[in-house]
Amino acid sequence: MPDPRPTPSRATLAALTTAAGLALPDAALDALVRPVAAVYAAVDSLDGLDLAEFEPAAVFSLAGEPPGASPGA
Amino acid sequence: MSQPGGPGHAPGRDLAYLSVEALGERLRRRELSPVEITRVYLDRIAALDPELHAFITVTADQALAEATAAERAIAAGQRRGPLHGVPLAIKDLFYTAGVRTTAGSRILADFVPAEDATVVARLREAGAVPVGKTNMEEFAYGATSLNPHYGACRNPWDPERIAGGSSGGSAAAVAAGLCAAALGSDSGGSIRQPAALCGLVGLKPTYGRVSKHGVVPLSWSQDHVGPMTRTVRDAALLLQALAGPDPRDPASSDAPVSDYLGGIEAGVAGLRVGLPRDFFFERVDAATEAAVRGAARTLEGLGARVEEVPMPQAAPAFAAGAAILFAEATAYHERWLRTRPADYDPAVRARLEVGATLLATDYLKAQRARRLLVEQAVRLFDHVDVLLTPTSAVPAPRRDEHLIRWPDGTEEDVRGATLRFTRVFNLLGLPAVSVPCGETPGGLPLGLQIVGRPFAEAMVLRVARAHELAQPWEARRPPLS
Repeated sequence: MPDPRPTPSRATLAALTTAAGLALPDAALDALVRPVAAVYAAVDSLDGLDLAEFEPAAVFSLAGEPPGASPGA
Repeated sequence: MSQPGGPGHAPGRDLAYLSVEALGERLRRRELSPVEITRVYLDRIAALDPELHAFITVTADQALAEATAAERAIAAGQRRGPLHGVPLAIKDLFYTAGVRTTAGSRILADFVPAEDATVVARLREAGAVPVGKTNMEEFAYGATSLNPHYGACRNPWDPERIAGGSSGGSAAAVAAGLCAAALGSDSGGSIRQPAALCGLVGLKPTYGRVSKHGVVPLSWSQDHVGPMTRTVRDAALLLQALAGPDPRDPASSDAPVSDYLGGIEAGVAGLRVGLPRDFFFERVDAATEAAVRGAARTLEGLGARVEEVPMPQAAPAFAAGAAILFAEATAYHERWLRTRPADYDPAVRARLEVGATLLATDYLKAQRARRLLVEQAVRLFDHVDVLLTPTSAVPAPRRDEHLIRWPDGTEEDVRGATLRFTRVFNLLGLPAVSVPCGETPGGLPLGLQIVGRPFAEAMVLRVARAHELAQPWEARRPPLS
């Protein structure tokens, strides 16, 4: 099982959020450290499962018609 | 605790607290008219909602027009069924044709859909009369319904406490007798948690059982729609109207719809009830744990076989569910997050920013884990018919309470403490209902969660009904009513 990721630094979070198109001030980046570390820890905890034979749960289906227009997102 | 019919309460209190079923029966017998009961609720909304903040939009004129039409149809012998003429409330996340649908946000403050969500259309076809759109957490992304744009929703059992969320307005409205029942949505517990905190029945059906077409999404693969009611039979009655395939929802299931009321009185004798050994009784309020274990003993006394069962899937399901929620919510909000960040509630924006830091591989790992966990969880039901857990780890927190401090020295935010036990079943997609199961020494309601195998809503409701008969709650009235 791989080692869990370290707590992300402000610089790491700045790079990730900038890549996502966001321009966050330092205070917002600092506030992200704890919750992002918690989510990374949650995801990394799944490394304890044997997922070798598992495809992702279906996020694509040809059944049904496309959903209606969303309000803009 | 105040009693039904007591002095000093808002008008029409006894009529307002009739169950949907009883109300429908009185309307059928024409002992009560749809206009009369709609006016009762509108009067109560006018009297109580300035303090409760349960509604974002009250559609009084439209409700009275629809009630008048229902009255004429019933008088003409064209009654459509048990919901005809019954006033309901709709969470402001559901599209309503010609009526603004804000999703509790400033961003959609002026959004007026051209069509109804499928479930709203189904309720209208059944003759129900929507009285308004209920308050909620912004974009359904939170647990308190302390909405900065439309008012902080209060809990009718103690106005200094939260009604829960994200369907807090629907819960407060039903609990305070401002409507007969309401629609909610649930992506991590947003029907069941506010139902528990407000002393109601809240049903999250199996994923795909009820259409989510026309519902502003939070987490496409974990969003569920369901009823919030004061009785278990009412939840069954509403589910009957809501359930069924919808070609406009890609996740909609073609599985046959059961008769949810047909076997609801069958009792629990001979049923196998599982109490998870893992996860659900860790870091839980003492009164809540005692109430849930008491409920298990009650069911045992009614002939059920209760046994502890391992559920090692729960913790990873919670973890994977959180990752999927963060990623999917941010994906939906990406454009607004970049163009209108200042229009978000800062707490919601912060959650969306967390989602922006997840990698595609994180999301896919969670979805791969989901497949394994669902397979394993479904196998649990080879040994039990239902699982019992607490709905929330704590009763309704105070409005100014942000952290729960546990006896082991750890701290947990309100969102985690109130949604930890529900989110597991959004990831797994299993049907789950929260029913009242007692109260704290201070009189706050507590919730019991009953979970079943996929599409076993009828079984979940049957067990819930047996519990309700053994530990009746419906006659209780909150102080703010």
